[in-house]
Formats: sequence, structure tokens, C-alpha cells
Amino acid sequence: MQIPETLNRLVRLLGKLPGVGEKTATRFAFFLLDEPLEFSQDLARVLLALKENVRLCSRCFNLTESERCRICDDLRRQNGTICVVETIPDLVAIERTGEFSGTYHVLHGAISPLSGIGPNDIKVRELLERLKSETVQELILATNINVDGEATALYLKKLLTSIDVPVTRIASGVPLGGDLEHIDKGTLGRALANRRPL
Amino acid sequence: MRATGPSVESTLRILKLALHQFRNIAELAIELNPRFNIFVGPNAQGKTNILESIYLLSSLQSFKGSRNRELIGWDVDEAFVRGLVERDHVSYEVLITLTPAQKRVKIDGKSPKSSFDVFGLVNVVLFAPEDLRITKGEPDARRRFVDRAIFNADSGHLELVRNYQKVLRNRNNLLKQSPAERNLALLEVYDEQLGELGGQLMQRRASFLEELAPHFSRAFLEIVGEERELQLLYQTSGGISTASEALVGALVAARGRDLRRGSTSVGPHLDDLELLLEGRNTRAFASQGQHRALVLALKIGEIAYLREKLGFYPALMLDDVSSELDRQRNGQLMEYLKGFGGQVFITTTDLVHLGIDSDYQAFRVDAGTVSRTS
Ligand SMILES: Nc1ncnc2c1ncn2[C@@H]1O[C@H](COP(=O)(O)OP(=O)(O)O)[C@@H](O)[C@H]1O
Ligand SMILES: [Mg+2]
Ligand SMILES: [Zn+2]
Repeated sequence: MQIPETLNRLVRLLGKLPGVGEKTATRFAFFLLDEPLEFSQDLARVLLALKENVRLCSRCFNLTESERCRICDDLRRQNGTICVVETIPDLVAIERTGEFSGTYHVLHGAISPLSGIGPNDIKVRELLERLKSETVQELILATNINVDGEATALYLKKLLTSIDVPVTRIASGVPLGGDLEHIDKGTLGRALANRRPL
Repeated sequence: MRATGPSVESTLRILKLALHQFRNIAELAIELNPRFNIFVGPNAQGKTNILESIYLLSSLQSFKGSRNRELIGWDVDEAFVRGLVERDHVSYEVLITLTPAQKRVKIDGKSPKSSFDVFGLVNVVLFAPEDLRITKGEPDARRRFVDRAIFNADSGHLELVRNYQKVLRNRNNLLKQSPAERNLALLEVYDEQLGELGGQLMQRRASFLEELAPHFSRAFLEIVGEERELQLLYQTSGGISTASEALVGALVAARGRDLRRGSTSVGPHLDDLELLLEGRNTRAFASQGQHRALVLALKIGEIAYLREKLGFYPALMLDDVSSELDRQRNGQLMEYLKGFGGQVFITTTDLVHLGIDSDYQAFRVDAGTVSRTS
């Protein structure tokens, strides 16, 4: 069957989405074709608005549609505690715990010379600026528990020795509700190494 | 997972092996003997390939360092290796599916949480002709022997080695940067991180070698049949102590030189292991026969070490070893194997030279097809 050029273009565009192959892209395209016009109008408008309106919060680099993100604008959040994370999904994960009522700083990456990412390629300078202008009681380093996340945390700690602010690092170990026998050895080993007095 | 009947002695047995399009073996499904399994056939028939598949069950890697594409039959895109393993009275089915791009693992039909749950399920020691490199060759062959043996008893060691290597590459990358873009505070971070991981790595190696030494000496004595003074010396790079602080100090001290060379000149990636026989370095002075005896003693020592750690004998794979050892050493190896309680996989071109006459199953390997010989 001869596929109209517009449909073809749509399939090619959708096929660029992560996890979407040609087959799925074709299915999506035919779905859109069958839906009422309003659906496509809505979708098109949202896609454009996404690029036009969504940007990074000028203070913490979370996503926002205004100057500052909802977390930074929330008066109930404690401004004195900043949790430093690598990515926005990490921020979302911590938000989901409901355990944290401070603010964030999203680095947008971790230092990794091997991948060509140095301190200037992530939001480190912005963090230092922020610490100069805000009164901060605690900085929590919640970068990933792997070698790059650790190096990033160590580097930040080093930069911050000149600034008088207590720095903490998230703990790593056994997940809650995890039977010890089903936890992978690396995690269990770390949990043992980082044990604490009761 | 299913518990099998009660038994006093803890064991590791590979009960069944099935292959599909693995190298030149299109299909294979065999039941294995709990003691000796001998694969017989002329050269280039697929005997070593079978051992390689068993090794894959243990470490998810080829001992030849081959990539997936080379492991999969030439005309197809998917291969699998399936082993039914009984370890410590519990049996597991391990399935490894190979495609050019990835290895997928299932244990009892389920995907494990982490590859570290797969490692350490099957513990194998391989003895192949290339292993003479351990005593005769470059230090990296000795480091690999040491790390592989530690990994065999504690799979978490692999993560430590990998993390060390990653941080090492990061540090080397920084050292190569131009003075303008170089960040010294960041270099300090990598000194600390490399020192911490490197210290852990050296301590693991040192304590392994300490435990290996008596087993190694005993095995060597049995092989050569007379008392000889034998020493196993762990040589850290720069002769530093195994403490993390010592390595951090050495890294800081080496910084000027490292910046000039663009690489890291101290740390466990440069460790070596020295074998002294009557006070003389065997790498330079030992005869061919002594090298064979030393490597054999290292392997038997490793087995004894693993037995102590695991509570059972690891499986032993001997690839074409008879062709490499002389008659006398061969006889001693076979003598040792009679007392060895573990499962053994042997490849050979000729069954008669082995001198194994009971508790065995022989398989004929002929252009990728495998059949029981009676
Ligand atoms: N991916 C592959 N597909 C098909 N044949 C292969 C593949 N890799 C190796 N072979 C073949 O396997 C044979 C070597 O098998 P090997 O186990 O080393 O022999 P041996 O019996 O001497 O130990 C060679 O004939 C080689 O061509
Ligand atoms: Mg061979
Ligand atoms: Zn914000």
C-alpha cells in the first residue's frame, strides 16, 4: 500500500522517541489518524507549549513554567536545607518519599572526565553562587552511589570547605522491606560496611 | 529452586549442560558425570568450546575474552547456554541467552536482580596451556590469576576491580588535559577516590596471597617430591603498604611525574607477584619443568583456598593440559585428581594417556557434535 507522505513523516518522527520502533510508530500514527481532530489539535498545542513554556528554575534547575519552580515557590519548604541531586528523576524520587521538606539543587549530571563531563558542564558554579546569597543550614549530597556520584560528592565537599555549611551524604544500604537473602551482594556488603551503632 | 535429599558433604555439580548455536556446536544436551567428564577428539572439533560454555555460566565471560558475536554460531544471531547446577544441595537452572548485542541471564526462569547474583553460583578453576604465562609472562597475567581466584570465592571483588579501573581511567583522563583546562581540586578528588579503592584492592590481594601461600607450598612440595624453599611475595607498586592512606600519599607524590606522562604510575594496576625458589626469582631462573610445576601448584593451591572458603571443591577444567605437561607432571596431576573431591572436565586428543579408569564419562567431540562413547 502506498502510504501518504505526511503519514510517513509522522512515523519517522515518532520513531525517534525512546523505546519506539517503526512498528509502534506506525501504530501510533494510525491511531492519531482515527482520533477526532480535537485530539491532534490538543496534542500539537501541548507540544509547542512544552517547548515554549517549560524551562529550568532559575534557582534550583528543576523544571518549571515560570521563573521559579513550585518547590522553590512553596512557602512551607525550608529554605535552609538544600538537597543536591544529579537529575530531575532523582528529585522526583526523593519528593515521592515525602520525607524531605527542604529545597533542591539539580546538577544535571555527574562529574565524569571519561565521558568528557567536568565541573563546568554541570550546575556547580550555580550552586556556589546560591550558597553565597542564601542562608543554608545543611547541604545534603544525594548524588548517585556509584563512582561518578561519589567523585561529584567529594568534589563538592572540597569546594565547600571554604564556605561554612554542614555537608552530609545520603546513606546507602539495604532497602526497606527487603529480605536480606534477596538483596544483591554489593548492596548488602555496603550496608554492612556502613553499619551504625544502635 | 529445589532442595535435594540430605547429604553430609557440600558439593558443586553441573548435572546437565545444553547448548544451542554456541560456537561450532549447533545443538548439545548432555548429562554430566558427577566426577570426571572427558571430551575426546582431534584438534578444532569443539572441545575447548564446551569448556568455554561452562566457564560462561560461572562468570558470564569467555575465558578467551571473546565478544558475543564470536561466541554465537556464524550463520545465526542467537545462542544459548543452559546449565543445571547443584550447589550446596540446592539446584538451579542457569540460562544465558547470547545475542550480538547482549547477554541475558535467567535463573530458574527469573531475571536476577543483579549480575552479582549470578556470579558465584558456579565456581570453576580453569587450567589451560596458556596458564604458563602466569609464572613466565608479564605481571598482568599474575594480577588476573589473583583477582580471578578472589572473585571465585567472593564475586563482589569484581565490582571493586571495575570501580578501581573506572576511577583510574578518570584520573588518567584528567592527567592528559591541558594545563589550562586542568582542575587540581578535581585531581585531588581522584587521588582520594583511587587511593580508597586501591587500598581495598591491595588489602584483598594481600590477604588472599597470605591464605594461598601455605596451600601453594604444600602443592609444590607434593609435585616436586622434595622440600624446597618457596616464597610467594606480594609486590605492591612502589613497594607501598596496602593502606589507602599510603596510596593516596604515593599518588600525591607522583603527581608531577604522572602529569608529565599523562598516566598513573602507582597503584594496584601495577602490582606484581614474585615467586622465589631457594631465594631466586623463578620468572627469570626457573626451568620449563619448574614453571609447569609452579603453575600447577598455584592452581591446586587456588582450589584448596576455594575449598576452604566455599566449603566445597570448585569444578576443575583442564584444557589440553596433558599435551603441555610432561609424563611425570601428568602422572602427579592425575594422582592429585583421584583425591580431588570435585567435578572435573578434561579435554584431550587421546584418552589413553589420562589414566582415568573409573567414575568417568567420556564424550567424543567431532566437528561440533558430541556423543557419549559407550
Ligand atoms: N562462532 C563460531 N561459529 C562456528 N564455529 C566456530 C565459531 N567459533 C569457533 N568455531 C570453530 O570451533 C572450532 C574450534 O573449536 P575448539 O573448541 O577450539 O577446538 P578443540 O577441539 O581443538 O578444543 C574451529 O573449527 C572453529 O572454526
Ligand atoms: Mg582446544
Ligand atoms: Zn526551584
